[in-house]
Amino acid sequence: MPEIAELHSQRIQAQDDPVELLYERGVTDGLPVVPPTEDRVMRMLAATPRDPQEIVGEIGPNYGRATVEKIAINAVMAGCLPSYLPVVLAGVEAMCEEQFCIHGINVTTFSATPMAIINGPIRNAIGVNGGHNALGHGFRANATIGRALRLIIINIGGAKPHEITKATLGHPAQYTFCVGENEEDSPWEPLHVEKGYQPDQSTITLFGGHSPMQINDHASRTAEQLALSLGWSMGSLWNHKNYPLFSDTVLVVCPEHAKTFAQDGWSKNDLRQFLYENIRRPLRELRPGVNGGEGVGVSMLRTPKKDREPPTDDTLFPKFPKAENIVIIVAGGTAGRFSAAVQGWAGFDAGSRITTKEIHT
Amino acid sequence: MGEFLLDPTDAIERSQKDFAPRLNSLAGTTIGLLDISKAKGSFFLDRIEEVLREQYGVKEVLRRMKPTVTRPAPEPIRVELREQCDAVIEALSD
Repeated sequence: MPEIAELHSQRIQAQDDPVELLYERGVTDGLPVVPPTEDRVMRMLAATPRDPQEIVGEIGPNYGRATVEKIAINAVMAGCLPSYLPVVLAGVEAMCEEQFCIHGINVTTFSATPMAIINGPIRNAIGVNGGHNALGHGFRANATIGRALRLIIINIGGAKPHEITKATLGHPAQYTFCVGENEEDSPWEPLHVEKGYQPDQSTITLFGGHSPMQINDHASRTAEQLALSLGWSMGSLWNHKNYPLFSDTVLVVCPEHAKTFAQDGWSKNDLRQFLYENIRRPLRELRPGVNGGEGVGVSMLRTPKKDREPPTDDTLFPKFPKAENIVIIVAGGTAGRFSAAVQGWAGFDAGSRITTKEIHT
Repeated sequence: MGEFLLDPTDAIERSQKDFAPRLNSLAGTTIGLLDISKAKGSFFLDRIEEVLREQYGVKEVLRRMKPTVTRPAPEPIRVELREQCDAVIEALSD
């Protein structure tokens, strides 16, 4: 355990009301924070063997140095228990990978935010909820791990609205957005196993996206009917005429829906492939000016390759650029047939790629 | 009272940067135009270039484009614009 003297952060006299002092210093997300006293920060740091001065990464737009010590201070402020610190540290590692492009996420008008998906045994060890109300309130681990990432973005990355952060609208998931995959009620292999990790490893996956859009389907009883229902509802993501999307999409499948797919023998890949092949619209419906000014971009209307014909009015454009651009997790309670889609910010090499890191406890 | 809180910020002192000196005249200067790769930014910059050349006597216009709107301009582009231009216009569009 480090000594107090080893900490490098400036010490601030707490005064009568530390909560108000922290507001005055502009280091909150708008909600009150837990005052990061020396004792609390020391208890937080005791949860990791890592050197407090180790730089985990640099966070744009200010490219502030996220040391273990600074991450621990923000985790205290978010309300984290010390046992959550390894999750937050792995989250910052993911955030600071170049492919995640946190700088762009923090300044775009789109209102992107890192959605954190937790897999593996750590979920049950620290109480990350993936059951009823999985995307909602009521669970300290979900609420404070997601909030710690937000406070780190504000305080270390320097991303403050009305300053350099220019999100047009923002959304409530920017306060905190952390969900455990409901591996126990899923018929499929969980996200981290799909990505090559063992089931007994724990991971955090960050996805640069927007808020979840819930999709109701209480009537479909076959995999195909349900896939069409979810898929065409997702057809309006970004805009009803943005075909194809520019990024990955996360599809959060509720356990009852997952059961319907599994009963017909569908794997995650079967669902992805079906959505890619079937959620398509002809160019005549997608041209700019038809039912709105938005539409298929000029670059898409040019002949993409020499050996291909230019698209005609009948050419079908897929909603999802490729099958693998649909990321599927199972979450939520076992009653109710509501799934949700999370639209991604600009993706691929031009933007942010979904990023997974192992959580070391 | 007496308790100490620890600063959660990066705590790097950042000096307020002043604007570069303004040009008194654009005549005979080299102006950089950085297209940040937003949709239709090139249309806007085409017009800016036309105005700079025809109405303000700009001698040269150096056009460069970021590979993607989502990331900062690569260092070689920043260096080139800084070293070769008297002033730079960075355009946003949509």
